[in-house]
Amino acid sequence: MLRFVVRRLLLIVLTLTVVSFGTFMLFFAAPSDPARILCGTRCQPAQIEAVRDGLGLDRPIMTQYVEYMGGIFAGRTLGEGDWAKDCSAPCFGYSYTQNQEVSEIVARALPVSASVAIGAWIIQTLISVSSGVIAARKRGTAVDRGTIAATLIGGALPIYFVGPMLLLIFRYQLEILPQPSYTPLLDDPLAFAGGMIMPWATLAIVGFAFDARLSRSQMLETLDEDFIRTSRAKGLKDRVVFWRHALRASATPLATSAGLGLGGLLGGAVVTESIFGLNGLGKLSLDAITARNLPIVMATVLIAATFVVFGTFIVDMLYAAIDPRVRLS
Amino acid sequence: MTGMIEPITDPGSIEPEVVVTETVDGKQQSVHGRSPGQMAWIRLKRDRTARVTGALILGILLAAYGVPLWTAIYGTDAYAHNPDLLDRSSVPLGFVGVSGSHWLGILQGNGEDVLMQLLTGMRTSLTISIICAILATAIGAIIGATAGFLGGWVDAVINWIIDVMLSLPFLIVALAAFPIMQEVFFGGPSERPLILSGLMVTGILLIFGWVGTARLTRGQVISLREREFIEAARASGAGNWHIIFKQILPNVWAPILVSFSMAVPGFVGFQAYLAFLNIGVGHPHPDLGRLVNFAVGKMQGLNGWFLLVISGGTIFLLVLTFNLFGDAVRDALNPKSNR
Amino acid sequence: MRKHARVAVLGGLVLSLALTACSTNSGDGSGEGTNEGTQGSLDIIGTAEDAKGPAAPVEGAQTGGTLKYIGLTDFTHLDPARTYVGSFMMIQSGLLGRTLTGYKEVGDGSIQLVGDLATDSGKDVAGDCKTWEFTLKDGLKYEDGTVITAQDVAYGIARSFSPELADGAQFLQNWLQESREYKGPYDGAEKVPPGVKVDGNKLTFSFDTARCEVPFAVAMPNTTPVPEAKDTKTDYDNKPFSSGPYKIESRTLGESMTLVRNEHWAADSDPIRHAYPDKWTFEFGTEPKDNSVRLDANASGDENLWSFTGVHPDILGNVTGNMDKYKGRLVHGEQKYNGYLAINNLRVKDLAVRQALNYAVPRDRWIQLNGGEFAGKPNTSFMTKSVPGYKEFNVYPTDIEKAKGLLGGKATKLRYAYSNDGELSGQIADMFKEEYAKAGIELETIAISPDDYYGQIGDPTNKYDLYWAGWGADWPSGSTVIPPCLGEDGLVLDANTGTNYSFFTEKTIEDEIDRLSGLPITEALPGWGELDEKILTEFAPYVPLDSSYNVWITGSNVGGQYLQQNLSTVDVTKLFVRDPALNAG
Repeated sequence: MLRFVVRRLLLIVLTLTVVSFGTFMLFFAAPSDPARILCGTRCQPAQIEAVRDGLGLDRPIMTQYVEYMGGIFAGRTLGEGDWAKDCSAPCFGYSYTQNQEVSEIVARALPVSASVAIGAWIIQTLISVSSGVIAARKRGTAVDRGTIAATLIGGALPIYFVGPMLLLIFRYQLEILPQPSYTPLLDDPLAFAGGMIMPWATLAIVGFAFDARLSRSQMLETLDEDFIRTSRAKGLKDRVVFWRHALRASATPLATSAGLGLGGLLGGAVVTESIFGLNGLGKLSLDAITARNLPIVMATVLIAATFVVFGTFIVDMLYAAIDPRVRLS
Repeated sequence: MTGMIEPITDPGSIEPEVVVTETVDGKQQSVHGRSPGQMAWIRLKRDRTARVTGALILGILLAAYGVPLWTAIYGTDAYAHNPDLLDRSSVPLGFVGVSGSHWLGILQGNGEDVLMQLLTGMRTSLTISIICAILATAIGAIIGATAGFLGGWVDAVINWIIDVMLSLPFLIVALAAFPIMQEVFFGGPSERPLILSGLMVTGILLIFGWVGTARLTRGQVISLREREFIEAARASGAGNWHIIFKQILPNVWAPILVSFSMAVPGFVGFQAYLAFLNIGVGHPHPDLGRLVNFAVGKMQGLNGWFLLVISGGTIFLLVLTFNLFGDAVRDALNPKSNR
Repeated sequence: MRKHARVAVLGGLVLSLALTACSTNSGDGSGEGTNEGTQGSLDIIGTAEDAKGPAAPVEGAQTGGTLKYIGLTDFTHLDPARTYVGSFMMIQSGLLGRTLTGYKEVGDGSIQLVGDLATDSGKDVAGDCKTWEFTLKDGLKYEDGTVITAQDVAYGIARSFSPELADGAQFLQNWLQESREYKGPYDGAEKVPPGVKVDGNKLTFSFDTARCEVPFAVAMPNTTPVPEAKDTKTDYDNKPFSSGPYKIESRTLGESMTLVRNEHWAADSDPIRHAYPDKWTFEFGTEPKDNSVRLDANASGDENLWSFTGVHPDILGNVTGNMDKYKGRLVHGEQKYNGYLAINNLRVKDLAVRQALNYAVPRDRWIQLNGGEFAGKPNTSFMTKSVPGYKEFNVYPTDIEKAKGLLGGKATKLRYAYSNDGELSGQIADMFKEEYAKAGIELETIAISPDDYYGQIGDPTNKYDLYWAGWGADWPSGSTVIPPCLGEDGLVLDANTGTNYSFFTEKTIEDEIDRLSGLPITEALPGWGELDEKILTEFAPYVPLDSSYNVWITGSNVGGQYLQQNLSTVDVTKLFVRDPALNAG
């Protein structure tokens, strides 16, 4: 067990190193000068030089990379002399266009994305698991067929179509839902939910299909298995068999899919946040890419990758915890 | 979203039974001696969904690839401008410009015909998606089979690469890489032909597209490689490549075929998604995702909902049709599936 | 049974597509009532009398209440040395800081340069434009009650020499020291910039050559006083120390900002600014379109909203089609910015081709595509109407036949480059391609990554022939239009930092630029208009397209909406809350 964990953690470190290095290189492969782009349209040569200095673009790429990674763990000093700036860990660099440390900008965006993703994930999982299980239980009935039809539609709906349609119908035509926005949950729970309802609905509509189908087929498969037949033969009530045994046995693959789904939702955040004008990580990275704001893109890619990698890791651990048949190796 | 990157396949449902039917399932063999492929084909032909969606797909292909013919019959192509049919702020006159010669209206701006934009955009989308699906499946199958068969460090490395690919936020990386790739490969002061732009998009999609199939194939191959017939081949002196290509891959064709059939709608959806985010074949070539983006921009304008519904609906129907057909293929290949 | 379900899905879809009611567009909805820009008056320099406060009251204005701003991005640069974007300058110079001179506008389109911190618009000591003297008014105070000194103004200018803070205008700095050896007051350097002398409350600027437009140059934000003790270098951007009517109470970068009254600001000393509302709140992160939707809706609680963001093109038609609905909360007008097609004169050397491009330009379709008359006005010169000295002329009236004649049947193939920033830019490229083909000019249209557009077109070695660019005067004189865009001033042939995107330079024109630069302002102003016509007539180095036009709406509880000519945006110094009790929070 311990060996497994250590091995996996080492692999995670390797993965993230490669991801960060790859992203870093990507921008250096670009023929255009990032300092000039960041500096803007009416930029004096001296100023481009200043930005270049600040970003450390004049040094060899390996040095820059090592300094950058060092900054994340230990913090570092940006610039020199009177212009030195302390950037404490985790230091993802300094965004010249926003005049702020990248970590501050990211810290501001993170709760927005987390609210979107976690809220949508809860709704999506609730809907998909319950509809999948019910459909399996009522196999062949109208409920089952309806569920299948809904998953087929949901699975084919593009997220960038659902979002605008919801906005168009509920915000601009019927005017019954509030403008999507982010209010911290603790400030005003009602405003929080009101501002998030359309993003949640969008992600849930698009995302629930896969999980619902999985949970339905998993359920049906479990119901066919020997131990369920045995339980039934032993005279256990149908309902007890269903809820206690079947549901529990189906939980494993569902947990996996749900865990991975959370990572997927973070990816979906790019377009969801843009459509609804929410200032989360997704929109932040999209804007940063457009402005070729290297430090911010680096930070968002790294953070997203870290989430996915650790998410998978945790899911695997959970998997082992839920299902004793899985042996970690 | 995850479903789009990775063909929707539930590894649990495609057990190798399908493949080994010929040796295990004596009943089927004894009736007419049909191969599992023939059996699947018969099941597919009997499936009503498969027949309906199959016909629809033929219709879609005809609509998309018959564009030159439709242009001749309909009288306009996707590129022609109609400034006379626009008002002073370039909004189409009448109801989104619908008329006898423009059945679905015209676009705000230069007044291009919406119907022809849809058909031509569909052609772009299908071409890219089908090529991607073929290449991604082939590359994924070969890499997956290699990893699964060779095992050891090769497997470990490939498996790790797959993990790295899956950990990357695909959209962000694609968005960041695309303009840079364009500059590096096709930068410079000349108009970019449609083919090159299409290749760029295909390339971006392929970088990540092979991963799903590779993982699936790897799993299938691992379960195959210890079988007797492989050992027999090895004993008779067959090399690794021979075994991979001649012994193993032919035996995992069913899940790979399913993976392919699900990859097509996956790529259609994802290609449109990228085009929506301005990673596409680019102006002036019609592109479904870009059309949706345009429609979203105009949705609050006069009758703005119309183009949004038409363009978004087209992508939806394309994906749905291919998904349903893919489902039917899966069912035909794996009659025990519970879907 | 699942098969049934699947087929049913396909059928049901078709029904769900019939959604909303349809309306038809007859094409005569929008149209009348745009503001032709006011021609700038030549009598622009105010006297010592004009420099006296307080500013003339705005009709119906109330004191008190809170105004709420919404916008996409924060005002990234509020450091007076670094601010250069119109809206940032408006906040910095309108609410937070005062400059040596400033522009007095009363809302009728007229504009006058007056002393702001200074008692007058500056004294040309020897009458040769080489030495300028400014005296500070008495009793000027910062937000903490300390006195504003001439030394602080000099220090503010000194720090704007620093490369780290060089985002702002560079005119004054370049004039004071062409070599730019001085790098600001940091790392132990002089606290007073070269060419500047401080004597009590008097500042003297000395230049090597005649600089007759110094009174305009010192109206730029870098003459805002900065006390050395309060200088936080690059962090000064986040919280500048106020000398204006408001001060920053709190600010979360990129998110929000609150301004409250600076009790030490004296209305009596200020000929330009009002300070009607008690408080300003700013909220960032609203997409331009959502911004317009929200202002349009004017929902309960949103009546005090305003924005620098003009009505979004996608809903512009809805607004301009019902102007009556927005009575009292709408302002629109022609801006100082021009839009033109720069012709790369290093590549297109044949005058006939450049003239043909002018004769064949589809100016009407350009405006139509951009959203009609509320998005732009046809312009046939380089200068725009609001600049004093502007001359109206049209030397190349649209004439396809003439263009063909000039080309003489020669196959002409040119490269048009555009920023790949959205559908509209692509549509415009398609449009130019189609229209120029009618004159026999074949355009190859090339999309450039938007983040590097200006870098590429500003590169003298670029391989493009034709591309869009735009420009607005830094101050009301052709001297900030013609030299930077059509003269050597803007030509940087060894780098891509120039602003002369046509790479046009001509000896005769350069001589005239030098001559005009040495003339007193009032004599020089009409000269720039004449020069503008001469350049286009004789050399056709660019194709004029339009001057931009914009429409702004505010919430219904906001009053005093005027278009400020100098910065071409909503004038914050005149805004007030109609009912201060409403949404006072």
